[in-house]
Amino acid sequence: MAERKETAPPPPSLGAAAAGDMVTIEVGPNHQNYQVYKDFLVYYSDYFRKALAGPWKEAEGVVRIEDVEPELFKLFIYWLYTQDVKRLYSEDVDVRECFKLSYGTAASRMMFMKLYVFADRFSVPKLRKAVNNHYVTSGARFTPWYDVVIYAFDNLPSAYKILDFLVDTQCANWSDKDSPEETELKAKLPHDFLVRVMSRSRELLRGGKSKKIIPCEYHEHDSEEEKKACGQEGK
Amino acid sequence: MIAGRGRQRIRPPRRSVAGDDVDFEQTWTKISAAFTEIHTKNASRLSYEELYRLAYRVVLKKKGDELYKRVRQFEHNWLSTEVRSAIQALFSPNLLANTQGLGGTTANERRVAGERFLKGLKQAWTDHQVCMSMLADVLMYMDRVYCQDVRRLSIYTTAMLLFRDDILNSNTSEIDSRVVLALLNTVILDQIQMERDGDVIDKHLIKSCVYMLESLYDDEMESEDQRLYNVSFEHEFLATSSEFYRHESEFLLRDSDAGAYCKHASRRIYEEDERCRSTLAESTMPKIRKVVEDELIKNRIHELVEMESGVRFMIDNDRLDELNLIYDLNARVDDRKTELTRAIQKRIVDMGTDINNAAIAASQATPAAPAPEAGDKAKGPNQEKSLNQQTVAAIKWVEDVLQLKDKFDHIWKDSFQSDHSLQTAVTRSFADFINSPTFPRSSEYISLFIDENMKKGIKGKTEMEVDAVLDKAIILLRYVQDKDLFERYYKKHLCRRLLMNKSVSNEVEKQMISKMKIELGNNFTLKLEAMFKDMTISEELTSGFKKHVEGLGDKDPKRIELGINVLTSMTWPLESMGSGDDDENKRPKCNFPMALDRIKRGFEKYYNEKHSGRQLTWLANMGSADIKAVFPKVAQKDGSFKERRHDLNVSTYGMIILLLFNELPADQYMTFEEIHAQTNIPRNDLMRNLQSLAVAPKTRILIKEPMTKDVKSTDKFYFNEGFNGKFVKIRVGVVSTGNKVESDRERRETEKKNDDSRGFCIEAAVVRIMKQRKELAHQQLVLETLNQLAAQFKPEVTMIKKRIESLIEREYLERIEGARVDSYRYLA
Repeated sequence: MAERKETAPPPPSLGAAAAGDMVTIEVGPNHQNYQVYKDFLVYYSDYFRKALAGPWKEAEGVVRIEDVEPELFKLFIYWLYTQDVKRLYSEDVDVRECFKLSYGTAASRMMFMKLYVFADRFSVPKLRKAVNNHYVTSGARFTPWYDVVIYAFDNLPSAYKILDFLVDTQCANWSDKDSPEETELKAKLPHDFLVRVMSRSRELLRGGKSKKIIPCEYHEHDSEEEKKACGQEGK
Repeated sequence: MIAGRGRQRIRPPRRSVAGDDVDFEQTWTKISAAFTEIHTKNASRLSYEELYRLAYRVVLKKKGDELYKRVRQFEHNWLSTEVRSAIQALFSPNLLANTQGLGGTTANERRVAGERFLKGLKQAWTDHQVCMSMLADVLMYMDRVYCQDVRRLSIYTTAMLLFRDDILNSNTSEIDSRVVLALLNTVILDQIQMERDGDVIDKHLIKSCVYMLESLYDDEMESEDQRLYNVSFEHEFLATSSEFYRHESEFLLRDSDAGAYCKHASRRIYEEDERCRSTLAESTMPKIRKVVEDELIKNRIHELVEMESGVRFMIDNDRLDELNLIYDLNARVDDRKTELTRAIQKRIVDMGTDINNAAIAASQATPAAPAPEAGDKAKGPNQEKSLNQQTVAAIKWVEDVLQLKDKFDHIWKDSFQSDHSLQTAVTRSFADFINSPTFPRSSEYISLFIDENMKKGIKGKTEMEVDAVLDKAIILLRYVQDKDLFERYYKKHLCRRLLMNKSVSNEVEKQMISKMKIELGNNFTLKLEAMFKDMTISEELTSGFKKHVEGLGDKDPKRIELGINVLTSMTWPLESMGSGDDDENKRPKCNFPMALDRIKRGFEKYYNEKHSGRQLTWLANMGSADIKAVFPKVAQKDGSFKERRHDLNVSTYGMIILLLFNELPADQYMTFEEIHAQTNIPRNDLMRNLQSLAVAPKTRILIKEPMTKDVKSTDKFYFNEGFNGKFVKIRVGVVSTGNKVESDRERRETEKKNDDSRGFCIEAAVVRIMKQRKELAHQQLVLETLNQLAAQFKPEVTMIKKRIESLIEREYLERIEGARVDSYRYLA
């Protein structure tokens, strides 16, 4: 059964999307309403494409997602129309305010991890990649926040590379000067995380591998060429 | 900039998105309930988001494996209970009876039952696909994370395989061990057979089932040739088709003519193509085409071509459409079109041989008739007549060959799509019969054809038409192998035309030469062109001499005007201009009367002043003369006496003979012997000239005694004073001056001469080759010699051997002693 491979059509233009349907997304326990251009949704997200195309209840044009924070969804919409994760820091006052985004803060790191999980769950590969790469590049020299670690290990399949990234930055950058809050969280660190830190540490002790984090190795690349270009850039 | 470990931070929500440990059984209950709804087409009440979230959480909690197994099991159960029983409900007695090959059901009953089955199966398949696509959408996260991680087939693919195993490969019933797939094949094949027999079937329906077979594979590799369509259906389809067409071709060959067969075969090929497009798969097209082509054409083409209504019949009746069909069919199975080519070639050679035989028969028909007549008496004119008939036969031969050529050109263009290999074959066959050893006269006939046209045929024709005639001759010439023999005849005929002023147009003559030059090369026309040059120079000489004579002195009213042609002896075929009966080689010299002799010497003097060292030989037998004759007064019908004057056009010999009687008293006579003694005209020529002067009724200027048709040496001749001509100008024809077909003896002579000159050509070629190669093996030498001479003629190998022998004798070559193969060395 050969699954049909579709060659990617070009992304929708705002003009074309504006002429098309709007979809109502009710987000969060309070059913916060968002109107989104359908063309954009179905282009970037397999999830929405399938939800809206099949003979489901959602075919009426309303998708109800209760277990997602409205602010997070707002961020998604923001990305949907700008296609640029870095601008999330700067441009939109509203978004920045609600997540208190600024580089490196625990809140913004957490927000990006949530956005990653969102992209994974709702199958938005382009967003997932953008978030991953940004997350890796900007966090390579720091110990991960423990609440981010806890959240990520709880909400992502264990084979994901971004989890390796958390483990490896922990091993590379951790010094035992954790703040009281962090110390408090240590008790809740996921078992899987700790085990992986142990074996990574062992590897490093044996001296087989370099401690240094090379961000490119944790990036998601669409192709070999892209990976090569990225590696060059990293040097 | 990165702010390091800032103080402002938010607490993560304690409850994770995926929730805490999910209760798998509870979740599965929800999911499976929803799946049942989907299968029963009630999905519109379901929320995609909810189902997706359930599956997502299960996978996130590492229960993907369990989920996958449950879904698979669910589908298996669904298919083997619900769907299978629905399918089994479609099996009617008619359907099963048919597949068991039992008779007793009508085609219509079978068709209806079959269609019901196909429809049901198609419906089940479509439903399955739709449902599974919905399930796969819901289980997207499982496919992406779980199936990829552990390298499982996607759930959709798995479910399709389940359809194959649980439905198609299931038994048709408890007691019947045949599987549904086999039944499906049989039903489709049965439907196709109905269509071949002229019924209308639901192509679209079958196509849907074919799609199903195309999207399922026999193994897990999913390679193209493992599709169920290829593995199970196509194979059977080709086998049954092969059998069907084998029977059909047998039947058709027996019951219809070749044309109908071709039409039918073409239609069948088209139908099968169409069937692949509309009903089956395009990938089958080349395979079934091969089956049809093999059964209907390849295995039958020989019989087809040879049928009574086959190629021969089509050619003879100008069935261009049918020939085109048979060409098309043959070309499909054989690039070289062997069978058709063979038949065409045979027909050409047969028809060509008929033409040859007709020509031979026509030329022999008349000589047989006069044979019983006594003695020499009737021989002269009759032979004459037969020669004319032969000439007519020759021209008819050329016309017939051209017509045949036209016919096949037409067929070639209209029916054979101007096919290259067939053109070569046609050309070879024409060459075959034209150069056939049983028909040695083609060169002569073609030359005669041109001769005839040059003398009469092109009169009153436009330039275009003339061109067409010349081209025809060239076309035939192309086929002729012995170009040298043709050259010989052409020279002979051209010579007569030029010297006797028989050509209608000099321009056309030259046109012909330039056409031959293009076709056969410079060498071939060199001598022919030289002949024209001689003619031009002769004209200049004649007028020059005339001026010269005028300049000599007073105008003499009795002066004889001389028109002269000076011919280069190597260029002109002079030997063929002598009367054919002359056996002695030396040119006969006749005695000219004084008046002539003077002017002859005058010209010789004039000529020698211009070109010293050249010897002029006078060919009195070739010339003609205009003389004014005065006949004495004799009583006319009205009683008056009147002198009569005639302008006589006679041969040079005729003139010499008549001049003798100028000095003879009217009542005196001369015997044949006396005339011969005085003139020294060869006996044969003399005899013929006397015949036309004394025997032919309209030009009886002399009286012969006794008055018989033949001239004998004892005959006496008187001047006919009472000659009465109707016209002032009288032409005294001499027998045998035109170009006619040679008698057999003449031809043998020509061939002998031709062989002689071939000998020289061969020797020249051998010497040329050896001079360059110094040493060469015998076989090699023969081969190269053949190659060199191919443009002129095809020498016999024995002749080449003889020439080599002769060259060795004359020490141009020597044998290399002790060489492994026979070899020669060139001796400088």
